Amino acid sequence: MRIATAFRYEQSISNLQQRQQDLSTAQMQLTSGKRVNAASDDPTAAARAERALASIARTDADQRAVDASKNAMTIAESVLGDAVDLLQSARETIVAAGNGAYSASDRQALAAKLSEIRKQLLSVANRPDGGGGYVFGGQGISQAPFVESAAAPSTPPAPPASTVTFQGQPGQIETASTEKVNLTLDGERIWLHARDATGKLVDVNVFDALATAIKNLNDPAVTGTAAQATVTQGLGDLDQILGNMLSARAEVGEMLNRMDGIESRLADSKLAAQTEKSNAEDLDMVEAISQFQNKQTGYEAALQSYASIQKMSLFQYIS
Amino acid sequence: MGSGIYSLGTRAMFASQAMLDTTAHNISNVNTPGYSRQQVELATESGMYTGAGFFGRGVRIATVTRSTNEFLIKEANVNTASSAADQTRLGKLEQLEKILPTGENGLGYAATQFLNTFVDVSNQPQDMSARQVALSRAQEWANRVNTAAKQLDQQQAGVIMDMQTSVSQVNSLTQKIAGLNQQIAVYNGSGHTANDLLDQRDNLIKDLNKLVQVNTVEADDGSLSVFMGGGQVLVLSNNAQTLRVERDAADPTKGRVALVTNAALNETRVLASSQITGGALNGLLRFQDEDLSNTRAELNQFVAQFANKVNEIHSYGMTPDGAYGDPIFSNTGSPSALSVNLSNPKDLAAASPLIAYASTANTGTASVGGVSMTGTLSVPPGSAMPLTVEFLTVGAGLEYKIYPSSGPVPATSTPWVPGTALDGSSFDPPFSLNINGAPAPGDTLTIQAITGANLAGNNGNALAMLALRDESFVSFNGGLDSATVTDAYAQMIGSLGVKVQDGRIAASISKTLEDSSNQTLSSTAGVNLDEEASRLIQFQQSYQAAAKVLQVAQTVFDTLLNITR
Repeated sequence: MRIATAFRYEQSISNLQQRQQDLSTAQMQLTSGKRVNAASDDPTAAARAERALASIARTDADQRAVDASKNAMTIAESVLGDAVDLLQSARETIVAAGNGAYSASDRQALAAKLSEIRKQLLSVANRPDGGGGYVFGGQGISQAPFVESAAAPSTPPAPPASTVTFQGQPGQIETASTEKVNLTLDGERIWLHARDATGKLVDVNVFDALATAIKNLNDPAVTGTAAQATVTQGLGDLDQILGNMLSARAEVGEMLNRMDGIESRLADSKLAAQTEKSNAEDLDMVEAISQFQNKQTGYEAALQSYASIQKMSLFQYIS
Repeated sequence: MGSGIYSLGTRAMFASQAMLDTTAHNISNVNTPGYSRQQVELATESGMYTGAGFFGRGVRIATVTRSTNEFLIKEANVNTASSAADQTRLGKLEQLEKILPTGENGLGYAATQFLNTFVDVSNQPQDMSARQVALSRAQEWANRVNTAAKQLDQQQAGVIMDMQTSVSQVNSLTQKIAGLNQQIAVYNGSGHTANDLLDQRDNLIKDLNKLVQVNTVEADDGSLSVFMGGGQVLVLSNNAQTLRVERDAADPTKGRVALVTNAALNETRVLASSQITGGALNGLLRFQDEDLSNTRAELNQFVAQFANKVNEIHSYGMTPDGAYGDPIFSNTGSPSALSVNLSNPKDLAAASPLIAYASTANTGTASVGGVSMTGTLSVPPGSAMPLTVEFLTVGAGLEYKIYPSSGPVPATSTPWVPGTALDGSSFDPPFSLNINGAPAPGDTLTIQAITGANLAGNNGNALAMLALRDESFVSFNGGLDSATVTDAYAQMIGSLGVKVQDGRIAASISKTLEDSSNQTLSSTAGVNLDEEASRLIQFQQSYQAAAKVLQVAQTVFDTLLNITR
């Protein structure tokens, strides 16, 4: 077959260009480290990488949710610890008030101490979570969840009755993570309820129980068996409340434990998503380098053959 | 006799001279596009009859022909046309692909990142900065959508501009072909072919095929009629038709090729796309009608479905001020005009209008997993609140009923299927209630409207927004299978990627076919310099031989003259 000279040159040029382009593509992949730079490079891998990227962003978001819960629950754990300490000290005070040798003024001094403890408990129960909410905020109340509705019974001898009520709505708000954890705790359930001897949940308001004890201890008329009854009643209530607080504290501790598990699962799934993304779109360096060298050799060979063939012409030999 | 050898020698010299000239012509045009190798056709002059028989009278130049092959030319033209169509489409597709980028620059990622910001809103609903971030991300997504839509518009405008350029080139080429037809017809009667004019015309037709695929029919006068692939005539003898680009009557953003039927009255007829079977115009039309409009439709559907869904869920939630959520996005039907409707972070409705909790007296392990709002809402709730959810044993199974706590208690109950939400669609506002754990018979849940102070801190609706990440609600072209936002975008870029890949393969195949048919044609029509070099020597020698004949003739003649001296 006749080879047209112009066509031969044209073809060599386009072959050289093709090889140059291949080489440049291989070089671009090597420098970017990516096999898939556009969806058309490998549509399936691009779609896989897209999903993996969304998973990575998702685990980051879940991690932020867990962090927020961890923060709130750490505060709750410390609040409940404080509450248990305060209740222990209230219990000791009430036990001391049972001492038959104590005079009315001794009991009033103990009442003043109890009244201080009650105040502290109230401020502990209203502990903010640092983000504008409250640890015991229930469904997410934006003001202090526990409100005292009359003056504190600190002014002896006869304080007016006072009570503390829960302003929020029962329940709790939860995080957006795939495994749900609490952002708030149900204040009503923890502070205003306790389990009785049969394990049934009954209304026991910790503040009211203390207020009753304070009122009775402040009252000089309450002596002897009546004082003893106050002590017994107060101790009974406080024991139920302490039991409830301790179980709430255990629940919170368990939740914090669970969060460690969640965090490690999140880290695992993030790693899995990152691996998936890398598998889908990253370059196999060993293969890429060997291919690059292959293409380089190919290009060199093409250049050499071009240089030698273009010298071959009959015009070189006739004169 | 003496004059015979002179004229024989002279003719031989003329013939060699002509062949040398033609070889030089071939060498000169070795790089001329469309040039066909020429050769001198020689013939023996008919013999002179004498008593002693026929005496040869030497050589005669019959004509000059070009080496060509009609069939190969047609095949090369068809392949050129389809290669040009595929190349043009591929170029446009590669630009289109850049409009929908993958990964962190993509619309899918921006949409899920917007949803992900509701994690921070749900963590701290009172925190205005978290809400502000959510609005900023919404704006960011809207901006990306706007940019993509505008780039699609620019692509469409680019297609029309390219069509106009191509059409004006077609018009200029057909004019030139018509002119050449006339010139060629003039020489047609002479008995010789106008080789260089024919080459020029073939080359113009090849150029024309790069723009629009044409078929040719040769008339008796040597003129070539040119028809588009679909049959529309473009050149008839020395008369060329004019094409024009017009706006599509049904969709003015699109361009169509039209034939000018009456230039004076400005009358045109739009040509169906089936008329244009190859060439750049075919590639442009296919890109415009299939690839670009599909991508645009998918973008429109993706954006509208996502934005509408976000608006819908947002409208179920309540702002800290106790109002239902206004739409986050406006102009959801038009990606180029999509915008964020809210500017005040307080207008973000993160709270759920209904809350639920389990009774403290419950003996089962059921806890509330969240109340999801499912329909249009009214303020305040139309149904009497609170509602009681009661679980009871009916036969062997656990059933539930939901009723206003104030009564009356309905007689019928609904079977409870673990893992499914409880149905509250008959209430105002309608809802569904997810529960975790297992309720025991006699257990109750309470559902009540959220109260003022809890609005700012509740995150119920932020959680509902986040649930959109896993909900399959985007479907393309009315398909029944819907996908999540991430999957839908992955689908979009995947199908676009497949198109580009297919375009690349098609372009590479048709380019190979074009190259191979051009090679076959050039092996017939092209000039090979080695061949011409050897011909040069051959014709040079025959010229020298002919000159030698004249020299001999002179010597013979001199000998004759010397006799008389």
